[in-house]
Amino acid sequence: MLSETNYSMSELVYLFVDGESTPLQNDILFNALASNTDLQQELQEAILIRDTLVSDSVALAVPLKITTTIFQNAGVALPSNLVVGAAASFGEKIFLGFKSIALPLFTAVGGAFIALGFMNYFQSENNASNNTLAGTNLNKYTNNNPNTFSNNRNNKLTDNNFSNNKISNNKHNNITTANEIVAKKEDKIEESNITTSILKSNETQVYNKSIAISQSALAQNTSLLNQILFTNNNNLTSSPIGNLPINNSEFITSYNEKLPLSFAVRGMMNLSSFPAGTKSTANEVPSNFTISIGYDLTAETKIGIEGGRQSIRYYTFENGKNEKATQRESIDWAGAYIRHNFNELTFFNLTPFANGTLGATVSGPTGRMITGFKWQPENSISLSAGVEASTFFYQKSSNWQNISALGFIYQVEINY
Amino acid sequence: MIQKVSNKSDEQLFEMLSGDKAKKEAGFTELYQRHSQRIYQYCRRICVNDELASDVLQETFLKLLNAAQSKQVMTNIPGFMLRIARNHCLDIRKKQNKQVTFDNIEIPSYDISLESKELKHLLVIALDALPDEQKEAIVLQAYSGLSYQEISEITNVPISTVRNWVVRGKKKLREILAPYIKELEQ
Repeated sequence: MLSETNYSMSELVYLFVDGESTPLQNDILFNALASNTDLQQELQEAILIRDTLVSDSVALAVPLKITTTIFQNAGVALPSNLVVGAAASFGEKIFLGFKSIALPLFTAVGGAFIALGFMNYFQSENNASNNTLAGTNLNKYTNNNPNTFSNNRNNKLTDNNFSNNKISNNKHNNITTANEIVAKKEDKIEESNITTSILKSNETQVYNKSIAISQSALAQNTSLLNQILFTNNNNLTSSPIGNLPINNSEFITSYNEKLPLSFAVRGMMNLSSFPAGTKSTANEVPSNFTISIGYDLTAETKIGIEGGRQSIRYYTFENGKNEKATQRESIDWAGAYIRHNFNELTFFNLTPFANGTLGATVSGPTGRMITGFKWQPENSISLSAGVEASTFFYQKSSNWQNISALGFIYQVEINY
Repeated sequence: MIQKVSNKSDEQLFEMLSGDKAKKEAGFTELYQRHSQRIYQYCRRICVNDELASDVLQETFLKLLNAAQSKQVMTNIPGFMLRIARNHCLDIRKKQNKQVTFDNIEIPSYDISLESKELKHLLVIALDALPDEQKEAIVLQAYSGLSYQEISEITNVPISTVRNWVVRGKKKLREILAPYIKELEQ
């Protein structure tokens, strides 16, 4: 056996780094290190190699699949704290994330195209209305372009302006103006009749013709006015001129006749899972999607029910006695949600929202929290994107534990 | 007073494996949690192949279970398991008959300065180029966290030999990686 002092300085470096050197050897090494730069360099590199080896060993986690197989073959139940398994690599997470969102992404993109289709349809209809108005005298009589009323109504209906009666007032003002138009037209007709009776000339027939033309023009303008009202406000019936103006309460009643229901499809891309080792899973079946039905409590708050499937790796055990563990790749859940849109914080047509859900899975309760932005290109459709935190609780040996996930969500909502 | 499973010694847990179902499950789970990682790490670096390493890990734990059920007396559970794993790995290495010499090792070159991840990758390649006994000694020491003395007991060689394997192996690793480490330092 070698004596403590029979090692070279270089060998002592490695013994020291491995914690295998004696105090005497340490003293010898430290004395040499003080004046030997090469030895200092060797010590630095030996430490670097040791640290790299250790970090490599830490990265070599036992694959979950192997753990499962071993426990199955040993006839032993797989404990849930081992379920979280090995961490996926970054590339693997990206791949699995994209794979798991294929269907929801397809749905969302499809929904976006439908939304764009609706937008184009309504835009072309509005353009048609503008063209019809362009050739009439109505714009001359009204201080506000009727199209302004259309824009106000379309853009502001879901905003707080509704509660401020701006829409109702706009409408009221325009309808009042429309009545004034009719009144002016009728005055002109009366003036014509008076003029006709005063002249009492051979030209009476000609004036009678002009009266007929004026009445025809009045009828046309009345029809046009009805068209404008009908076109620009689908929720209002085309009112006879004699019944105008419609008051605010009538308008609000008309708005409430719109069904306060919505249907939404939401997709999710997993960003991270907790505990850190929880692995994103590759599913044979589509997952990471949510379907929800909502009811508008107010213009800002909505409640509803929703359910979906999320990629979470877990195990079920035969007969509940852990005889045989079966690996599952996704979990179904359902719950009730409440969603609040912060309309007063809207900027660039993006409205912030927060969504909370309480629900359950086969293993226990689940909770989800979403925060993000909503974009509503048209009354019937809104698109949302945000971040979702979800947690699933399960029971292990009488203790409740949980697995959580963080994901990016995107949603298409259809309002009825 | 009932002792927590996590507070029991390896030997006590081993005895539990031959008990009733609940004891067996508790004992097996605890032993697995304590030792599976280091055995897998050893197997993974010695066998190189992930699938083979997994097979060895599985074989090791099943043999441990069999040993317990046949009422064998065991005094060094980690050593026993590492020996089983080692024998399997050495058999695999013999079958692979893989001989990588120090001279013909190919390490990919990188244009950019090395990151620690790349260094790790290079280190694994370099480790595989070492003679089997040096590589095994380093793996047992760095990956399985064994002391020279423990390595000596598992491999049945004098501690001085283990010391030489580890020191020479690490010096060779340094030699192989020297140009890359310099680049990293720059």
